[in-house]
Order: sequence, then C-alpha cells, then structure tokens
Amino acid sequence: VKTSESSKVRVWASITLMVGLYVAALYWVYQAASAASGSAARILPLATSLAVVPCILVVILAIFSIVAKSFRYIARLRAIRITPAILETLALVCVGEGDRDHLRWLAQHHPQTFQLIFTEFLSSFGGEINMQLRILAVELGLVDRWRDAVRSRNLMTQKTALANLGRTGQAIELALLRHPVEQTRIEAACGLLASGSPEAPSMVFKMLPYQSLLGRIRLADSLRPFAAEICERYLADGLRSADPRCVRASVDLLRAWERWIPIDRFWPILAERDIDLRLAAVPALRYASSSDDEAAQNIFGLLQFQDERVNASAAKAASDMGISTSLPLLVNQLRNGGRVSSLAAARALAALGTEGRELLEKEIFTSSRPQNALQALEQSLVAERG
Amino acid sequence: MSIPYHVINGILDVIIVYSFVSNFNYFVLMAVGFFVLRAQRTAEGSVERDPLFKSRLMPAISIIAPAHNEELSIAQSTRSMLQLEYPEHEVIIVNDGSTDRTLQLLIEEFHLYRSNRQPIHEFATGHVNAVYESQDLKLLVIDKQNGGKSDSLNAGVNYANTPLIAAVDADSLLESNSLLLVVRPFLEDERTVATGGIIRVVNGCRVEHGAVTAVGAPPSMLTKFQAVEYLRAFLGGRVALSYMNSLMLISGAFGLFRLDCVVEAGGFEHGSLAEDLELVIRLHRMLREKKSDYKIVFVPTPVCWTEVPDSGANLRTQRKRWQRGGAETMWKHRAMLFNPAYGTVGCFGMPYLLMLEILGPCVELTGYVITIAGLAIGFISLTSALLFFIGSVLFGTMISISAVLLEEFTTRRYAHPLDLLSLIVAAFVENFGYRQINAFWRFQGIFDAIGSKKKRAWGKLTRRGFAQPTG
Repeated sequence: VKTSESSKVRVWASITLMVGLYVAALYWVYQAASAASGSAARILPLATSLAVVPCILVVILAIFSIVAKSFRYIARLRAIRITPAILETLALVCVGEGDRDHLRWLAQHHPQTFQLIFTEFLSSFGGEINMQLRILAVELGLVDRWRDAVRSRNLMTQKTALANLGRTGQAIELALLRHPVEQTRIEAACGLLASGSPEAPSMVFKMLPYQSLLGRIRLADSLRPFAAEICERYLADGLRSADPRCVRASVDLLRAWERWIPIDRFWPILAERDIDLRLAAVPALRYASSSDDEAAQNIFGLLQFQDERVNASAAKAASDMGISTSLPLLVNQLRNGGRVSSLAAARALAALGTEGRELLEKEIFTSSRPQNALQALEQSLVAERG
Repeated sequence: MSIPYHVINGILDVIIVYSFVSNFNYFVLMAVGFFVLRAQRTAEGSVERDPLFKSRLMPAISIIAPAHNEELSIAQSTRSMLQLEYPEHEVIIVNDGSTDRTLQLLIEEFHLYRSNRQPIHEFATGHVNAVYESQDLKLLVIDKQNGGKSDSLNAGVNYANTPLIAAVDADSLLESNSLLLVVRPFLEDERTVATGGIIRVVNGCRVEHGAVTAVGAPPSMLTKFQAVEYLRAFLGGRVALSYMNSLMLISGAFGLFRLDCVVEAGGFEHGSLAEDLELVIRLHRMLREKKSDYKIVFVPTPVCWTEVPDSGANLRTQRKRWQRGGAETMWKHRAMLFNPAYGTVGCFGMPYLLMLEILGPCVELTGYVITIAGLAIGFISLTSALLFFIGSVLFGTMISISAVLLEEFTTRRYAHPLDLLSLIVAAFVENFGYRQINAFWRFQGIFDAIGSKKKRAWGKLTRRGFAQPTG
C-alpha cells in the first residue's frame, strides 16, 4: 500500500542532488586550499568557507520567508475583510436575488477566499441551493479550475478539487481509483460516490480490500449511505471470498456501520479463517447474525474456545447483545479464565442485569480470587448511580 | 615543547574535522527533513477528521501520564487529555508520591472514587497505595509511592488494557487532534510499533481551558533559544532519522506505543533518566534480533505543548539529566554500535547518537579550551582561532535558522511575522554564550554518568503552570 509518503525516489533524488552539490563545492575549496602548508591551515579555511556559502543562502531564504510571511499576513487580513461581502453576495445569488456580476468580480479578485466559502456552501446546502451552486460552479469557471487541481501534487488542493467535483455531480476520472498514492485513490472514490454515479458503490466496494486501515475507515464512512445496496448485492460474496483481505474488508464494513445487516450463515463462513480475522469478526456477530438464537449459539462456542482473546471478545459481545443464557459460561470464564478474559466475563455479568449481578455477588463471597468480580460490580453500580 | 605542540595540533585537527563532519551531518539531516516534510505536509492535513473520530475501527488508546508535584497544571492537563478528539481513549494519571496537592486536586476536580480495579500486567513498581476512578469520565488515577518516571509509566502500563498506550507528561498539553494524527502510521501500516509527535514550547502561547488558543514566540531569550532547539531537534533530526527507520528517540512527553511490544520488551527501564530513549532503543534491539519487519515513526504534525524552564538553574538540571540518561543508555546498548546486525540503527542511528548527541559537548568544550589555551601560549594564531570561532558560529547559525525556516515552510504555527523574526534572531544569538553554557551543562551530565553516585531523580523543575502567562 502506498500511502501519504510521496515517492521515495523523488525525495532521495532531491537529497542526492543537494549533497552532491555540497560535496562538489567541498572538493573545489579543498583544491583551492591545498597549496597551504599546515593541515590546520588547509582545513580551517575549508570548513569556514563551506559554512559561509550555506549560511548566506539560509539568511537569504530567511529574509524571503519573513517577506512572504508578511504578505500572507496581509492577505489573511484582506480575506477576513472581504469574507462578509462574499458570504452575503453568494447567499443572495443562491436564492435568486444577488448581483451575479459582483459575485463574478469577487470570484476573480479573491479566488482563494471565494473558493473556501463556495466549498463551505457546497458541503452545507442541498436541494435548490445546491442546484444553484452547481450552475454557478460551471458559470464562474470553478469546475475547470478543479479539474486542473486534480493533477496537483498538493494533496489538500487535490482533495478539495475531487470533493467539489463530486458534490457538483461532475464526472471523476476512473483512472484515479488506481492511482499509486492511496490518498488520491480514496479522495477520488469519495468524490465518485458523492457524484451519484450508479456504478460508484460497487467500484468502491471492490477497491476496499486493497487499502490500508486508514483508507478502509474513510471508505466505510463514505459507503454508509449505500449500506443496503452493498449488503444486498456484494457483502456476502465478500465474506465468502478466498482472499482474506476481501473477508477482512467486509467484516470491517459490518463493524464500522454498526447496523443490523443479517448475513446468512455469517459465522460458519468465517469458521475456517485465521484467528485474527475471527477475532475481528466477533463484534460484528451482533449485526450480522440472522437471529438471536444463531448469535447466542455462536457466542457459546466462542466462550469455550481455547484462546483468551476470543473469550474476552465473546464475553463483551454477549453483554452487548444481552444474551442472558450465556451466564453459566461467563461464570465459568470468570473463575477459570486468564486475567483479561476473566475480567471481561465479570464485566459482562455485571452488564447482564440483576441475575448477572447476583452471580457476581455470590462470587465475591465464595471465590478465592474475587477481585475481578468486585471491580466489575463496583463499576456497574457506580455507573448506575452516577 | 615539540611533543605537546604536535599533540595539541593533532587534537585541534580532530576537533575541526569533527566539527565539520557533525555540522555536515546536521546539514544533510536538515535537507532530508526539508524534502520529507515538504512531501508530507499536505498529506497529513488532507485526511478528514470526522470519519476517524467516529469510527469503531480505531484502536483504543490508554494515555499514561506520570505526575509528581504537578498541582499547578494537573487539573488543566488532565481535562485537556480527557477532551482529546478520539473515539475511545482512557486517561491514566499516575501520582508518583507527590508531596503537594496533586492527588487531592484530582479527586476533588473529577469526583473520583476509590476503586477496586486490578492490574492486568505485572511489572514490578513502587507500592500502589490506592486506585481512583471517575464516576462518569474515562479517568483512572493510580496513587503510588515515589519511584521515578519509568516506575510510574510501568504502573500505568500494568492497568492499561488497550492495543495502544500513549506516554505523555502530565505537565504538557496535547492539541485536541493530536491522538488522531499520531495514530495515523498505525492505521496506514500495520508494521508500526511506535510513533511520536512534535514537542513545542508553550511559553508565550495563550492557554484557555487546557488548550492553546493562540501561538506566539516565547517572550524571554532563554525560552526562545529552547524553542529553536526543539525545532532543530524535531523537524531536522527526527524527521530524517524516522525516514531512514533509525529514529532513536520518541520524546517521553508524547509517544504512542503498541502495548504488546512494550510488554514483550519488558516495559520502561526502572530508574532510567532517559526512559523514552531507552525504550525506543530496546524496541529496535528486540525487533531487529527477532528479525521483525517493523517501523518506528516520527509524525511532525501532532503537537504536544510543553512548558520549558525559564531560569538557568532549572534548565541546567534538565539538561544534565537528559545527558546523563542518554550516556547511560548508550553504554547499556553499546553492543548495537556499528553492528551491522542491527541494520541502519546499528550503523547510523546509534553512531549518530553517540558522536553528535552524547560526545558532542565534550568535543565542543575541548575545542574551546584548547583554542583559548593555544592562543594564550602562542600555539595557535589569532587568525586560526578567529576562523575556528567564525566557522563554528556560522555553521551553528545556519543549522538553527534552517530549523526555524523548516517550521515556516511546513507547519507555520507562528502566525505573526515578528515571531518568525524573533526566532531567527535567537537562532543567531544562541551561539554567543547559550550554546557554550549548554555544552558545559551537558558535559557535567556525562561526568555524572561516569563517576557520580548521585541518586537518579526526576530533578526538581519549578513550573509556573498554564494558568498565567509563562516566560
């Protein structure tokens, strides 16, 4: 996965060039000073002169930076002054009352501030106003500017352009979904989904397994409005896929959306998968099981599984789903489990109502290691009171 | 007289070459830092915050903050930690035997109750007197006997039950989005085992309700010098070292670690004065020996604001402690030095740390002494001495101004041009006095590491807290 780090080749090429120039300068000064007799006499001028050149360069850069910063400072003050006028004119034009020529003038003379406000409007308003904004984006030449900005190396600029193109219903170049930089792929995918293209959900779902967790989180959020369509048409296939990355991506979607999406035979599909994948899928049982009975049966199995992490996760799932029939297994886990799973069992018992708490109380008085029960009961009582 | 003359001349040659090589090295690191930051600067800002903030897929984090006599700032910094933007995080404050009202303030301010919470891990620490929890906030306070910072961090680790732990200083302020930013490398690449954010100087900034609301350059020259030093260390050195996967230090003020790796490595070293450096080196060592594919990453955007000493005495204590801790850690892990089995860490990271960070002050001071002595006795001509001094000042100035400019080219946190100007001036002025005194304090730290039996202690730093303007 290529992420935000830009091409290593570009970075290293720049560094090599810079160091190369520096070493060449060093050699040149060394040659010039080689006529001197003493070693100190040779080395000192060398070191000093090599310090002088970059030092002068840095001082020049510093002067330019201060001047540039002063200009930016003034530009910011100007932007603050012009913002109310842009806001007012744009709002009036959107409701059909404003001066379009004045708006065009503002867009031309204060392009950055105008674009910022326009973007804010696009992401805030739907319906009729959004339609007006779409027309304005074309009229004012913003769409053309965004199309150019898609090629920018500045990911912020690129992101804004892709998002705005999507919001105004413009086509997104599909090749960007295969761009080597992950962030570009993700922004293109989000823009594509926002543009309303009918193929967008399936295309984005298919690219999901090959992104980092960061990318999957972003895409899961953008795919949320299409959850019903994804579940109905693609998710089961994703879970049955031979590629573990597809299975993981599907499980992550279920966990991220946190909505009830019954998947036929959800757990048996995952039964043969590796332990980490199944561990990730345990919280999704709550959303993907087709019935309470099926979920409970799976939880029972997991509470007896020979892995402490799975046991702990299953105990949490049991309490989240309110499976009171799991109480005996939870008590057993509390007594015999490892430190983490025993505590998870105690917390699950505390969360499972009066019966669970009574079992905890009993455990506190009878068990040789009542600490976890005591801690869970105490936390539960404090939470209830507080 | 001819033997001492040649000896002194030889030493002087070594010092000149050392000075040139070290400055060249800094220059290269700065250049690498510039190109890497330029490549990354827009990438980090372009990730939307909201999807991460509300996602159930984000790994939970325990923030562990050791506190020792922090009554001035503990309430604000704890509130700031609790208010961080992150879907699931718990704050664990470890009260390390404070003799002031730190614990009482926490109990009163956050309505804590005495809890029966049990530790999950078993690192040996000072005796835990009591554990307190908040009724409605994800806050745990461990009250324990005084045992030092690493002892407190281990006590926090014992109670942590999340995939990631953040080690932070209780007297620091994290920016609200800092956790979302510092966790990013873990989300991008599952090989990541530790990340660290940038530490910046809060002196001169406006702090309201536990958050920095306006960034300004520090008011006094001493604090300005330190602001320049922090920029130099983080934006120059660490960005470049991280890029080469040779990052040797994640600051104890703000670092994020995989809990399983910290536990496997044996936690923070008891009694170490540089527990942050020691842990990172130990993680490198452990993972290289296991031949694991891993990454330790520096992230330049998540900011942790820290109050730096505004008096010479406090600064001296701090610098001596850092240097002593560094020297002791280096000695402990000397087997990694120039050892190809440890890859870039053994062949570049460790030698860099030894030659530039640990031995740097010794060489610098020797240079000053020999130059002055040579000048007095007549071994060295005035021209040579002046050239040496001018070269040294020019290099120092160049590197420090470059660090300030790196900030300006990338993060641009100082809004006013006068802030930038004042830091550039400080970058030049620090070469006349501050740098020499600092080298002397650091030399004393090494001397302590070699010969002193003095107790390893946190070192008492007087803080003003965030409630009033700091200078």
